[in-house]
Amino acid sequence: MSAGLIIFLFTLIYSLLCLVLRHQRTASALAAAIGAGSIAAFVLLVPFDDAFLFGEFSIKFASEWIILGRTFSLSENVRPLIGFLYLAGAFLLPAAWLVNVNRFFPSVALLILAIVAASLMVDPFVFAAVFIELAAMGAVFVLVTQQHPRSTGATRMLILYTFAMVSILFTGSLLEVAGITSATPVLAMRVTFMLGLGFAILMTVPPFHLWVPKSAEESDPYILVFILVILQSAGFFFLLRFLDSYVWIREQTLIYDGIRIAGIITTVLAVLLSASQRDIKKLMAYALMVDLGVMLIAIGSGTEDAFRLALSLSAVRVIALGVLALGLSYLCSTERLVSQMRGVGYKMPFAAAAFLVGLLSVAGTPLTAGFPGRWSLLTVVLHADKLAAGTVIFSMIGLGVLVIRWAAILFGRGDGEDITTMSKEPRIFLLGGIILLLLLGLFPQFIFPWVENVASGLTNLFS
Amino acid sequence: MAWLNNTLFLPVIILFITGSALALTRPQPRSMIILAVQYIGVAGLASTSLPAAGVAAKLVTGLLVCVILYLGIRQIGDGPMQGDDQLLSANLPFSIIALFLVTVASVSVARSNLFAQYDIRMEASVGALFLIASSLLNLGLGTDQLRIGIGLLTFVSGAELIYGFIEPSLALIALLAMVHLGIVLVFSYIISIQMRYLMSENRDP
Repeated sequence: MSAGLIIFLFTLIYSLLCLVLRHQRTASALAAAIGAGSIAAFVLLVPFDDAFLFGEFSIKFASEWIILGRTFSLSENVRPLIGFLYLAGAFLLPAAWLVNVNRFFPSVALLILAIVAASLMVDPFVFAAVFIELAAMGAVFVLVTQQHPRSTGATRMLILYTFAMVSILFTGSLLEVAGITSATPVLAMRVTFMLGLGFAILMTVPPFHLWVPKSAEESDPYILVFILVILQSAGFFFLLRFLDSYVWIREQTLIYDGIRIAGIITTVLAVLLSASQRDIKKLMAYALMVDLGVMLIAIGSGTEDAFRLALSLSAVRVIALGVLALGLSYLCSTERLVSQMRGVGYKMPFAAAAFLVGLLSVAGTPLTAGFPGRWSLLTVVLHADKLAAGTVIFSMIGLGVLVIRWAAILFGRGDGEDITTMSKEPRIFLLGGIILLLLLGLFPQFIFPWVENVASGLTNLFS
Repeated sequence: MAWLNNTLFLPVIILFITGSALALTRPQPRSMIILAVQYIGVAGLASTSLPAAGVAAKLVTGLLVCVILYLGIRQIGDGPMQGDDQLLSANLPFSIIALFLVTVASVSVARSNLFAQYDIRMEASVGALFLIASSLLNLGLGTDQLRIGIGLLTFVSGAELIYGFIEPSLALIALLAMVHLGIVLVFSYIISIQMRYLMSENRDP
């Protein structure tokens, strides 16, 4: 039996189970998390293409699965990436029942994970663009719900992802059919432009970020974080595979310069915009973009060490943004503007603490999970590009100041209301998230095995 | 006038008429008939690059899309979902001028050698680029969800026509059919959610 088929079958089974259990929110979220976790374990731990003994039975899973003449391959270079996506799902989905999300969310979220996994498995891999578009469609179903009926952000996202799909499909075929090399400068320039456009949209680089703050305003922050983490990771992995597969692209310093400049612009713009926000949900959207900008600076540095850092940053952001969004979901359950948030921290101390620690981690403050990655990045880019290094420092200071400002607002003199009663489970989740962020700040080496696993798969990029 | 003897001239004319009609008229359930005719025109042009089975699959998908979208939106009646009437884009002379400009631009681009390495037929290139241009007009000038949905479907149809010459595989036809169906399901869903929201607001102001 093929491993790809097993992944899709089990995702479908767990998704149907979540659908059946949709009225019992806890059971549905836990089923989704267990499903995502077990599939991640299958992808990361089970050997493929070799028979192994399971009790008395000899089992062999084939890494390739062929449909309509196309191969879905679970090769060594995509296994850690797919494992990461399902692990991210397993981390984010258990808390889904705590926040005000649609009851179909766990079920649809699992399907989105399967579609993104398919985008990593499909061969030729330029078809991944179509799967990412399908995943974006799935995202609309969880972003727009009866509780959150406004759809401007979700519609913008779908339009942009459709443009990205077309752009990347054409780029892929130009590379395959026309045989682009450095000896064909006109075609090379066209490919670079289209590729840049496609990936800028997938990674929500300004000006293609406009759907993010709008969706933050219209949807639940926890759902938006899930969608952004999964879709941006898909775009990031897709970019790494492009760089790994085409020598011509890998050797273009112009492309790395472009990515780095995009990262610098994204970071600076996002820090400035987050500083001017009066809406706490939009603040989260711009904090997400700061994180993305720093990741782009790492990729744009173009060295093996920087790629490793970008991978570790992408792993840490799942936890930091998850904790931030969970806290925020509670904080903005009724109000969300600066003037209305004063003193809310006293009413919901755990939620406020989770929000602030999550933001501290995104800022890269010492003793939080985001710090080791930011610090290592600084050491990598400091000699090569002073502007990039300055931008990273600017993002750390800028977001750090914002944390102090929002802490002062949340714990400022309020209207004297009592603490909002919060049951034991949310408190455990919020506190657990905070402790995890602090632990990863102290022991960042927990992330390293996964990073090395990915690096060993992308043999051209990590020689 | 040798081009009049060309049978592929007819689908191009169909695309020009339907694309213009969809861009100039207010989107409503009856617009699905125009969209269905547009899909027939697209299938006609796709026959230059795809095998008969692929063209048939494209046509069936297109018609299915129209039926699903009609069933999804028939509840909204003939009125637009949002106040498109107040927008500049709803002004007919403005829309006609904009459409004229994008038509000229699309024909000019098709006559250039932009797709020289793909060996694309001129009729398909003109039709596809007009579809893309008119869809961008729909996407750029409208706020109505139905208009945006139709614009997105038209955009994918146009891009697909060109891509058919590059990769005429069954797998890609199936994947892009899924994209069409996905778009139509998403917009039917969004429209139904917003209708429910509007109805609940009217009931309980």
